[in-house]
Amino acid sequence: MNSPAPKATRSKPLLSPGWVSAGLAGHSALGLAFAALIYLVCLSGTLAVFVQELQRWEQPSGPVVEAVTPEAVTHGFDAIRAKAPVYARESVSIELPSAEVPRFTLSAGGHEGTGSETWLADAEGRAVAKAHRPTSEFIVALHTGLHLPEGIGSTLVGLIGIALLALLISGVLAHPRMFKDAFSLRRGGSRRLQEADLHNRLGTWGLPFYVTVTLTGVVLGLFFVIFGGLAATAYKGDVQRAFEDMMGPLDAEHHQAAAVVPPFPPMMALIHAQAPAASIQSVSIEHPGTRSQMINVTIQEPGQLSMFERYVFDTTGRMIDAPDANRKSIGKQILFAIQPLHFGWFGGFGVKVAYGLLGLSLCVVTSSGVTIWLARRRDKGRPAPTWERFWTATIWGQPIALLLAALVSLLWRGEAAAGVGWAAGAASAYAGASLYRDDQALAFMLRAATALLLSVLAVTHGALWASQMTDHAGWVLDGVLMLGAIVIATTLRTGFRPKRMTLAGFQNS
Amino acid sequence: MVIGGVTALLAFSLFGLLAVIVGAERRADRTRPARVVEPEIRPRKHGRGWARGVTAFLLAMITAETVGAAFAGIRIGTPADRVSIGSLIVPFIWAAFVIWALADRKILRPVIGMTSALAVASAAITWSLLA
Repeated sequence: MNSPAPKATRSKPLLSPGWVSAGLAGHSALGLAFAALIYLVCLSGTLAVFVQELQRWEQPSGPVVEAVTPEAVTHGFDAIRAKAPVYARESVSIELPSAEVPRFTLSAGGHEGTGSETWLADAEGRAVAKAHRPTSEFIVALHTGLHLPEGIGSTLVGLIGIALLALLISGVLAHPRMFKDAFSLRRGGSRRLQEADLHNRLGTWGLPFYVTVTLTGVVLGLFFVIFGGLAATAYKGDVQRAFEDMMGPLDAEHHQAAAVVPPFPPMMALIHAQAPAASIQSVSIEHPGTRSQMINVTIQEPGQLSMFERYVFDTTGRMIDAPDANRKSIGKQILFAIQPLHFGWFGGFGVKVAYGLLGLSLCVVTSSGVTIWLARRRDKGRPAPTWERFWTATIWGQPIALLLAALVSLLWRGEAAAGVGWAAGAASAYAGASLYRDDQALAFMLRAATALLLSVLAVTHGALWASQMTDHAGWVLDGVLMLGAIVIATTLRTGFRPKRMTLAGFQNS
Repeated sequence: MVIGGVTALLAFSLFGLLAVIVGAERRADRTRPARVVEPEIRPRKHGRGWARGVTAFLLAMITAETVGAAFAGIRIGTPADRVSIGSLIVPFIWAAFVIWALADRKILRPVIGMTSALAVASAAITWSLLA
């Protein structure tokens, strides 16, 4: 948002200062309009990368399952149909354990507009605990749809992605010295220059990652908008054929007539014979026990980005589609790589950590962009103290809100627990912004509250689950929370120390 | 190979950031602010703001989608490839149009540019559907 001017140059710059200035105006207007929403989506997205670990943390009593037999899959299928018979008429999905997620998960239902039920099973396929994942579900729903109604939310998130992509493009155009300044980070001095340096350096080095996650996010959020128009032209109006060509066979027309569910072990054996290196990720059945049932088995091949390579079997257990044929098409490989690329669900935990760090850096870029605008106003003698406080409350209020969502969910098993915690946290931060006159004092208080909540959450979780924590992920995440608290507390020691907190009702003299 | 490439890009970004943070300098307090390019100041007009907003999101969306659909109609490669690759191109075109509408001093230029692109792309779609 703020770019050092080109020096009196020997060579003519690619873009004239007039173009750069106009680009900055567009960058600034778009950034200010969307900054809060971009920040919310980026922060929740950074956490959503770790949703599988978060789910394990939420239910650390397990059961922890390393591997299952094909017979256990059959038992699991029978178990979920017995536990949730109504939802299971629509669909059943069985997720097999893996090294990353050592859980055997049985789900029924889950179609749009209908409910669902999920259970965790032991290695024999017995449903032993109902899944309880309010915080991770809250975070994912916040990231993918801002908790708005289905369709509206994902479209809005897609539009936010377009705004972010436009900001990335304009940020590059408005920064003619991007490569020359790539290693120059200066701290201290004027706040505006300090924030501009941080904004530009993080923006430069993180650019490949930011473009990747934004582009894939837009495609995911606006999939039907973008895909529909293109498919209608490429397939001459036959959008269903486009879906079948790209995704494989669609659900057959629903026939209520009863049919026997074909046994899973022969299907799994056939897949192992065809793709010995692949691991089976899930088995799902639409309308199980009817003539229209179709069994989808998704696999993950080592070294492949795609998450949705699938084998499809018909109601007699005959294989009707296999991923081998799909590999010929680069288009399908792109399509199936979009989700893992967006969430960092490939390449193991190291890739997730990289996504987490770069995701946080995108949050900082978003935050510093608005801070530069506020500092510029202050430098020009037109400070906007109310906006400064409300922006601080937005930046530090969201971590507090998400931590409270997790804490309330831990203590209260009500369906609205995460939402209530999040709303309370966000409202408290904005209440603080209304009460405190000093922006720095407010930032100090909110950071201190974040550090305190991180440690309270870790201790509360540890205390509540200590005797049943069979999954080590619970302790590891508690440790990460404590580490986060220490890091933030350290910044409190070196940063601003308020001499006197000033409430709005009392004049700051 | 793809995973290796993506992982290398992630490592590139992280090591670059690490190098920048490690090499951070302390700016002397008396340092005078460097000359910086300021965002252009434009007169505030309510109607112009709305025109920019509508151009940036509505016209840009329709034009980008139509250009993408025209690309998908070109008979090179399989239809699935064209749809997938087109799905990645559309957001870039859309975002570029958004920033053009917001950055250009004269709002008429992006309006004319996008409308022209829309007309050409629509003609290309019609031709590909009739051919």
